Amino acid sequence: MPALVQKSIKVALVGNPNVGKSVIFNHLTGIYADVSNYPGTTIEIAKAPIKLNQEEKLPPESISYTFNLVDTPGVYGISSFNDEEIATRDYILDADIIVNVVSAISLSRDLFLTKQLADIGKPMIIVLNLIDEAEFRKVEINIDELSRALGIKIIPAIAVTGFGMESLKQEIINAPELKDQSTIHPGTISPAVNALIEPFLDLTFSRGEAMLIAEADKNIAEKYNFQLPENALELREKIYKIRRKEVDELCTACVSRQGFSKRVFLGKVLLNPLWGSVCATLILYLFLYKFLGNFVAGTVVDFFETNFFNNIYEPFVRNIVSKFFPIAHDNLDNLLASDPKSALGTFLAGDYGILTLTVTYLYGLLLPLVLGFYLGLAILEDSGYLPRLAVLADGLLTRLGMNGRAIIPLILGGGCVTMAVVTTRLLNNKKEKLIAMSLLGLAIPCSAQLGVIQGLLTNIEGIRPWLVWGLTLVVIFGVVGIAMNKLVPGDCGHFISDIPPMRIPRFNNLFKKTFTRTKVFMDEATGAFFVAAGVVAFFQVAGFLDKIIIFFEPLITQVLLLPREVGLSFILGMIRRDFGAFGLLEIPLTPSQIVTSCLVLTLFVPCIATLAVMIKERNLKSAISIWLASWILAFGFGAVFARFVGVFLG
Amino acid sequence: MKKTLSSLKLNKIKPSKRFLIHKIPEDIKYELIRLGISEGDNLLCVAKIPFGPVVLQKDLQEIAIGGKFASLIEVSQEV
Repeated sequence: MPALVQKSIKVALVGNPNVGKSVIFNHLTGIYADVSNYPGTTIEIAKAPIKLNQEEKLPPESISYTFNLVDTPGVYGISSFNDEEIATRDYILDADIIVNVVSAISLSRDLFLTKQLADIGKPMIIVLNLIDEAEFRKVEINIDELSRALGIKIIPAIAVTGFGMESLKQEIINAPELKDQSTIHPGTISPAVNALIEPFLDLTFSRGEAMLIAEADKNIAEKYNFQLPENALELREKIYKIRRKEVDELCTACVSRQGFSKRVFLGKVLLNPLWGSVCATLILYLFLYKFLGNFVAGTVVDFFETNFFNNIYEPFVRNIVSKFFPIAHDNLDNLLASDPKSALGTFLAGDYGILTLTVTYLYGLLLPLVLGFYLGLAILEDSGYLPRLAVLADGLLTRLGMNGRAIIPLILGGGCVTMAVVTTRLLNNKKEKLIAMSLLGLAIPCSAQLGVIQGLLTNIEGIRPWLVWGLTLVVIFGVVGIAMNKLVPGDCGHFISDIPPMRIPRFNNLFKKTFTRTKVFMDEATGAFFVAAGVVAFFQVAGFLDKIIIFFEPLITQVLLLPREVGLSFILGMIRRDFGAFGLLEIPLTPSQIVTSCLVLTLFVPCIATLAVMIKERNLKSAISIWLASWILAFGFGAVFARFVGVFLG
Repeated sequence: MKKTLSSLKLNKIKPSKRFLIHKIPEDIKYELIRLGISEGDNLLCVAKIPFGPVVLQKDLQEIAIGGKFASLIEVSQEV
């Protein structure tokens, strides 16, 4: 038997933002890449081999192919305008086959990239996605004519339902076998553009690089030590204009359309300054107050935490542990030295026991809250609402030194500030990123914390405490943003964004996304919770816990007018914000104290994981500054609030 | 009928009006060409957020341009 030769074919999935690349990636590889209905979801670049069926894995010849698929970040063209483009450009230059995903409802935009890719001259295949959406909007596309004009095979698809995915896979995996008869070949190169690229062909190793140099790509020119001529920008404009004209002609010839639909109407209402703002307020109220506060943190958590974990699970565990080790509840100071056996029992199943309280926190509280938040967020994302919110918020966010797109990390921060800090990459420059990161660290609570806070606030009679908390945060958010906009040098408000159509979320994607994100979150939280609880339980039996609480007591009781036990919540909040917040649930507080502690906890320092990401995304100095500013802001504001506003709440 | 054109900045366009793009500043020209908007295009204003972005429609696609950029783009409108 001849030895099996392994060959790897690099396939790059390329397209404009929000055209369905990640969904196609899921279908072909069986791996879930985070999919949303807002531009720019693919930030961490996903790579995986295409999943082959059993018979496909056994080729007749002795060559075994693997097809490595890369889900590149969405771009409107390739060059070196920003990090996403650079990443995508490099994957394209490296690829053996390009799979260009285009949206059937925005061909005049998408085909610009297609023409640019065709001019590179690599084997290419087009996936015409969203043909159901096009039909719904009465857009007719002459696919045969378009395919002929481009010289590229087009596969019509509805990626979310899987339609067209099998044909796409067959096209890709048959390509190397068929060789000359392969339907995947380079598209028609535009003669007008080619004439402008030709002078650079001898300069580079590949056609793609020659094209990019002709288009004034500084990085590639540097790579070849080539000094871009003075008229480089003019040449680029010339090439871009030719492409634009060719695309417009293609669209006139191949696309016809008529009429508008209801979903377009809804999309318009959401962009109306008045009705859009009313809707935004209503959505925020329903999502935070009604859904997360009343339903998840109230009904659902009560059911699981009280009925199951407190009444059944914890007594059961205590019962088992107490058969071996005694569990102490009082006089815990020095327990470790005086009675090690009962110290171990208390460590395992006492009030802060790692088998009792930690498990209850993780699965009775954290899990429902995080699930609830991510489900709500998934609906907002998949419906296409977030980009509209970004448009509404752009004016305001520009005044705070950012741009409309910052709404996405700011809302994601309500899930997990750590993950949100990573998405600040969506923003344009250092100034916008620093401000978004600071506001995330200062004024955005993460999901479990948000849930606990919503639960505490909705527990008090009336909506007033909730409004006070909300408005105070808005004010702090605004003041810090405006101040930073003045103080941090640099430019902001660079906002050009295409707005995806409103879509009815698919249950399947909502479920997958909520599940994946919750799992990632819980995996990270589980370890952190056990460590945090272990430290606390150990401190308790070793007699340190009381000493720490006493040390912070003046700060809590004198400055914030809160009971001393709240101090523990804040200390734990430094490790994990949600873990700290859960502690608040067990302390009896007056309405004024509840609002004060909710505010202080919201403003208080970002957790250790967030701090680490901030250091990675920016630097140590920014991270430490944000951390220290949180201390000052949280306690300074809490002190003022407890004295002057809190008294009105009783 | 003879048409008269009035020249103004993009951020002054009212919703549901059609207009012609005249001049786009160099630094955002390329970004807009790629999105399908270039000088000479005839477009529709879908929405305008006060002190905020202008939303344009080209074919079936909607594009928002922040208020800051919109104030730099010259357009003309039929009166």
